[in-house]
Amino acid sequence: MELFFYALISGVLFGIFFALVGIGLNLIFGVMRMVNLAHGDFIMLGAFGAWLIFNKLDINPLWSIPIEIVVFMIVGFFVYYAFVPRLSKSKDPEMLSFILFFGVAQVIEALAIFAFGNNQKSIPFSTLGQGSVTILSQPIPFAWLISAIISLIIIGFIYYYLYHTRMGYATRAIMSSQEEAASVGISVSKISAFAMGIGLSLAALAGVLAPFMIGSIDPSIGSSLTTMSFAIVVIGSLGNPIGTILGGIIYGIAMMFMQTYLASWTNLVPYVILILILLVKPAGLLGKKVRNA
Amino acid sequence: MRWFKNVTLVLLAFVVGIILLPFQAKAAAPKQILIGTLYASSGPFATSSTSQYHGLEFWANQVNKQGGVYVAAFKKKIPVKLIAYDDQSSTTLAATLYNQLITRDKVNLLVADFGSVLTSVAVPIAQEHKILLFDPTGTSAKFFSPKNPYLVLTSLPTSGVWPTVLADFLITHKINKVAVIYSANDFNQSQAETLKAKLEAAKIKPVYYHAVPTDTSNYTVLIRTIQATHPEALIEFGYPPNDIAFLQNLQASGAKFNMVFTIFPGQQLALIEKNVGTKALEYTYTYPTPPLLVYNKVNYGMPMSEFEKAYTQETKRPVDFLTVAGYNAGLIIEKSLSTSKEFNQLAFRNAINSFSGKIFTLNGLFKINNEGAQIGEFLPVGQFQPTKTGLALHVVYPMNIATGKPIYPAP
Repeated sequence: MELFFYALISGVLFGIFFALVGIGLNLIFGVMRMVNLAHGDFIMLGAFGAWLIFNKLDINPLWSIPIEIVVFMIVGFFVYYAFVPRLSKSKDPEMLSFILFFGVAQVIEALAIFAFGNNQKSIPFSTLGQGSVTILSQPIPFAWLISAIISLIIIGFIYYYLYHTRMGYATRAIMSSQEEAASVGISVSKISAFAMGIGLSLAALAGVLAPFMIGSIDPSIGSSLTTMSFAIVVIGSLGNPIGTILGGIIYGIAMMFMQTYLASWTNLVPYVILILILLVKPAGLLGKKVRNA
Repeated sequence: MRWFKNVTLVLLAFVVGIILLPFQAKAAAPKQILIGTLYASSGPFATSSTSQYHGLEFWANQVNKQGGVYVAAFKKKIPVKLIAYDDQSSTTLAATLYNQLITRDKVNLLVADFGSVLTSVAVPIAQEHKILLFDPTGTSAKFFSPKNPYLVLTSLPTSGVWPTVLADFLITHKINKVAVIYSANDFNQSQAETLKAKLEAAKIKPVYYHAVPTDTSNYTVLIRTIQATHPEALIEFGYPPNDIAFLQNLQASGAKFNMVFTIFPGQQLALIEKNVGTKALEYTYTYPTPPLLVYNKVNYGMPMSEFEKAYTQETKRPVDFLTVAGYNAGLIIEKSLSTSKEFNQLAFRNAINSFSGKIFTLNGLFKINNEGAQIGEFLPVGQFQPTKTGLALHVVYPMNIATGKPIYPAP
């Protein structure tokens, strides 16, 4: 029973972090109907940002959070105005976005190799606090708890932004229908550019916490993070950022239970859940409800 | 008379052909010996692969500084040219590039990329094209068969043999509760299977024995599960990213085991130490390999001290085991070219058979069996013990080459 509770608590904590990993991807898709295949690479860049802050400036990597929000907002605006309006004019923007962001991912990975080399880099877990904390009689690494709390706070901000601010209302209006949003005077391009900035910032912030949750980092981790993000997003609901929280938690718990009881099959089960959910409820677990909110 | 004239001409052509045949067979010496290889600049094998490639590249530079490699078939020195492509740690891309090296670049010899995963695609391609594959570190036993003469493992024994001494160490020290966790790939699985078989032969049944996906980057939950089985020794077989994640998570979890074993700290100490810190490695066990393990009886190529000095001076990079493995592959190529009286692939292999068991390089005794697998080297058990200045790796088993005693259980 001890192992069961350990897997459950770890799964929930990882799930909250995984929700942060996927939420940016889902926000961008929800607003622009574009698939950011470079999402994992932006997470990787965020992780290297934290590593640089810790390694070169010798300060707590969490200080990279405000810096990365600003930097990646700017990058998001640039990416939006450089690519999205042109893609939107094409016949099949979703498919073209696949190809374009795949290229962007390759470029980012190549540049990261130039900048940081191939070797794995890591930040000691103790930077977020020594030892472990007891939850339901289980010793959980302190770094996991801190990472999950930070993830939850960031997700809380996103929830507040989407449901309690004027820009958030506009963002959700665009998610429902770009044409209708434009017809009532919402500036689709400005709000979308802002969403792109937020999406990339969220990826970067997940990256800051990544060394404490997924271990060492290197420039090639981007593609697997993108794949993971897709699974999380689709389980929750593609186009619905809040559904991602549910997707993340299901993914996290499934992964941890598999590691505990059937370690060899760990990688398989989250994708089996993904396939099952697509067969039973193709819109994702929270598909319909929030999309029309 | 017309038929007589035709028959005479045909016979004449036949006789001339017979006379010229030996001259035709003895092809002209190439201007360069083309050696094709792959490296991974990205992906999970990048660190190890680039180290190995740099070692091979250093060998080629050294040889070319001396006018090239001596080729016995042409009785002269010929410069060496490395043709290398980036496979990005992808077996699919590697398969295409190995083919490209053979069919488009027409390389004379082929050297495999690092490790069993990237070598696995090279083995059938080399066999199909009948080109000798020099395999520095692809140690999966599945590659080797008496039917394939186009493969030579230059640096390490096949992976299934690696834990032989480790198993003896566990049995001798009466460590009866052993947990084994390994990454699901040929390299690690063959080690886990050998260890399990040897322990079971000594009536020791592992208390935990599980594979995890090779891309596992978080072991904390697994460590917790293993802890619940109360093992005395925890053996983790993985690639460098696995070892880094495992050691980091072990330290963060606060879990304690009497003995912890990982593979790559003994091969890539600088990389692992940089990532996990000195503390996480204290009292852990590994397979010590050159340069951490120094062989004194070198009769071919540079000894370790000279190699370390020359390599760091020329490349400004540190030496690790894979650099040594890359350089060692170059030495075996050099020896085969300087021994083989004919310039063809099977002659190279026969030449290798002729000097197998007779040369000692900085990597130890080079000896292959009839399948081309390395049997001259073996991997002892070493333990990292703390010193005032950091860590010292002592060979603790077998006793005849031990440089220290194991500290067991770990404090």
